[in-house]
Amino acid sequence: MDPISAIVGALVAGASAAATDVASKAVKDAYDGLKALILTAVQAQGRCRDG
Amino acid sequence: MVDEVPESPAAREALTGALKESKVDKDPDVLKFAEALTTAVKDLAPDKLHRANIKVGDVDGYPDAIVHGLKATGNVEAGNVTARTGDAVVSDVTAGAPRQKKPVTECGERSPAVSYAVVSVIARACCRQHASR
Repeated sequence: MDPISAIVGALVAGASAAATDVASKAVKDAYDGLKALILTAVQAQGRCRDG
Repeated sequence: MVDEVPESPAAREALTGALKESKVDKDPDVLKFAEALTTAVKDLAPDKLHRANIKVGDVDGYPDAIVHGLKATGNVEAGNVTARTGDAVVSDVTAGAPRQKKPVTECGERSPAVSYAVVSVIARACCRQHASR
């Protein structure tokens, strides 16, 4: 599996699991951490493109 | 978008495009978190991730009010079941996944149950009432 597919798969699985009331702390922490990292990278990319 | 509709193909496609453009797949921290998240999701019991709930509001019937045959893999909740002059009946309500044989560990002890269900049913009637599960 290529890295992009792995990341997308993890995010989709994480979002589905996080929406339930049974998601563990490990799921929520990993999901929030991954989202924060990706948002930072996407925003940085946008700044590079705009600047 | 993925937060709201995780299974949507459009959301996946948009996410894939954004990830490719931002080159996050080159970031080892992102890959590490993705792997940790996948592992954490796999560690969840699958039966807990596929639960459907039934929520019924108040049932007000004349002359009878009957709630019968509700089955959900998740929770079943019903409000007040009120019959004006006849019977208020709540019956055959099942919540939770079908009971499976619990696996027996090597030392012969049964493992603890991994799922639970909540049933909250209130039945009221002006005249007679029956409630059963």
